[in-house]
Amino acid sequence: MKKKTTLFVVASVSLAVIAFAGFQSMDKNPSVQDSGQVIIEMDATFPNFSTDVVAKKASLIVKGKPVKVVKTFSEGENNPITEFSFKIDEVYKGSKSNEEYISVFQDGAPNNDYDTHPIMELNTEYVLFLEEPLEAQYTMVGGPSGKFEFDATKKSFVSFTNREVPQAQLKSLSVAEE
Amino acid sequence: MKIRVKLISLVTCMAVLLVPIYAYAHTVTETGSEADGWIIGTHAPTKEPKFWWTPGTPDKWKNRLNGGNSYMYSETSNNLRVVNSTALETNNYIENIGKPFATWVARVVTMKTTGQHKESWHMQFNTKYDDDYTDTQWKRIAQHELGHVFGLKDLYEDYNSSLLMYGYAGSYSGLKTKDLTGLKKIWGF
Repeated sequence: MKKKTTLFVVASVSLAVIAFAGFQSMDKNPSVQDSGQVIIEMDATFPNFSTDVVAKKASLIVKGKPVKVVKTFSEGENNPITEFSFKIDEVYKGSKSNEEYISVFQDGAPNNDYDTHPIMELNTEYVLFLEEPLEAQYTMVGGPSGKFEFDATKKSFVSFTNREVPQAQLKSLSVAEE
Repeated sequence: MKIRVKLISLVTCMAVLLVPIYAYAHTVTETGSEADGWIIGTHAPTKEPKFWWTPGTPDKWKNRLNGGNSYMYSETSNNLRVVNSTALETNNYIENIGKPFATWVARVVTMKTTGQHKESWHMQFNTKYDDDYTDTQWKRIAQHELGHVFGLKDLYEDYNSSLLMYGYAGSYSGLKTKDLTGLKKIWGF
């Protein structure tokens, strides 16, 4: 009887150890080393402001193109920002002039941007709703809520937040200043 | 005496078998898609990951996170929540910040992963938008960020705009069926 009890105990403990080892190996990706892989992932939530709201919040509304990446840097820890030189083609609100260049700052960097607010592409036309958190340095109101790219099939400027500004209505944006 | 020994062995065996089930998520093979209404990324290694507040975090932000945490816990049938701890016990932290150029409302930054697990992450709320959302909206935003901690990625197709994991804030109203489906793929509850 003593032998049976001993066998039972040993078998139970062995089974537990084998099962535990099995669970441990189950949730590890065999293609990654156990010492850990350093990765930075960024999952950001941006505002979904309506066009009316961004128009009211903006001190400057322009159409134009980013022509150059001036620099990328981190605003604090792990907060990549890209500074663009942006050439204005048309002004709908604010006191800038056509052909003028301004500095526009966007969250993210060319190789490290947010899926919900991808970095502007150089020499692509955008309508931007901008605010000026620091003198002469502009950011898009509500991130992607303030960045519109031309969609030829819709004949509208469309944001990543699925808002539209038809091309024919761009001039009416200047009414927002009143 | 013999019966006692057998009982103790059985209980020990069962305890050791069950601990991994409750602590660890299994390896997830599905990734999902916008069409599915859920996309899976890296996730915390346990159902109750720990975090600490950076010193000086105002109660307002703690209450918002706690509200979102309560929503997450109850809507996952009391399975998933973060647990307040100290910097000695975990590298994960939560804070509010205000920076001139950041335009995101909130975010989760994962600093280190091992396989599918987030080993070190931090969550941030942007004070720039303090007045743009009500407390209730902020709690739901916090719940959305917890969705990232527990393994769900952002969605950005318009047809997913009613889901908690839609990547643009303002209209969240909790976990929907598709959000839950994604979480269950990871956590099996």
